[in-house]
Amino acid sequence: MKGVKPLRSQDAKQLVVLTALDHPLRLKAYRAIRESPGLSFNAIARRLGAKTGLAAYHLAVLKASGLVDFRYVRRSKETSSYRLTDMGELWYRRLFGPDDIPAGTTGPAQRRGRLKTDG
Amino acid sequence: MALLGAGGRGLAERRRIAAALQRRGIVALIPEDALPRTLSPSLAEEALLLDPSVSLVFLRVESWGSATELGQLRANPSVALKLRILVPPEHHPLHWRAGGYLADTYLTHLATYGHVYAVDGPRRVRLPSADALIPILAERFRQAKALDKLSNDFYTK
Repeated sequence: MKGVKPLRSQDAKQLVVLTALDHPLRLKAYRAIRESPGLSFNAIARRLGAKTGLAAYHLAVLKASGLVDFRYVRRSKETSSYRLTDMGELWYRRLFGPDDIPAGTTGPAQRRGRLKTDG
Repeated sequence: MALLGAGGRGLAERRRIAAALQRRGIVALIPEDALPRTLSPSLAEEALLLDPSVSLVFLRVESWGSATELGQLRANPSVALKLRILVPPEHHPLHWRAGGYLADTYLTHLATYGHVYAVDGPRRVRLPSADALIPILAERFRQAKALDKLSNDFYTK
């Protein structure tokens, strides 16, 4: 861009992150991954209540912005497993404060525990 | 925006470009990196590109795979409008005396949607005169219109 001063690196990074989170579904996915690290693509799509293609798009934006990452795990078949990156974790604390839901509090074990106490 | 193209060196180039865009605060999606391989690329990619937040789709055609992608994406008018096609000059219908189905497809796209760019390749390329360019594009546009190959939305909005 001729005549336009380039952004400072920190500003560019912030712009990318805030753009990535500037959508209700992406924010919901970001929080879901924080609460339940290791969620599969299909599980996130179900939580979002979104069609696969739409969920793929929003997760792709979160991945491209560096907030989340996925790896492959083999259960009955190969599955993608999403978690926050270190940068994603840092931003989560910055945006929602340290008193928000601790990471990994709604995993299967915790949910089972909660069901027991609820019952 | 999204960056599509070939794998190998093409993928490395797209990653460099995405990093340069990020330094400007622009999120650039590379489907191979951003989508899990457990999703079918031919289905997930199109859904991804249809989202209104993706305003530009750069496709560098340098392999048969990316040429096939071009065929699929330009068949969908909502994605075709966003396409910015990058081709070697020797395959560009205006900068070279290129023949063949692919160059012909580029010419149709150029006449109906525009945005087919010659990149890299030899330093000296042919530049068409206005006398030559306008009839080529006008004639192809007329043919496309006659065969009902234009997106109605695009020309009525």
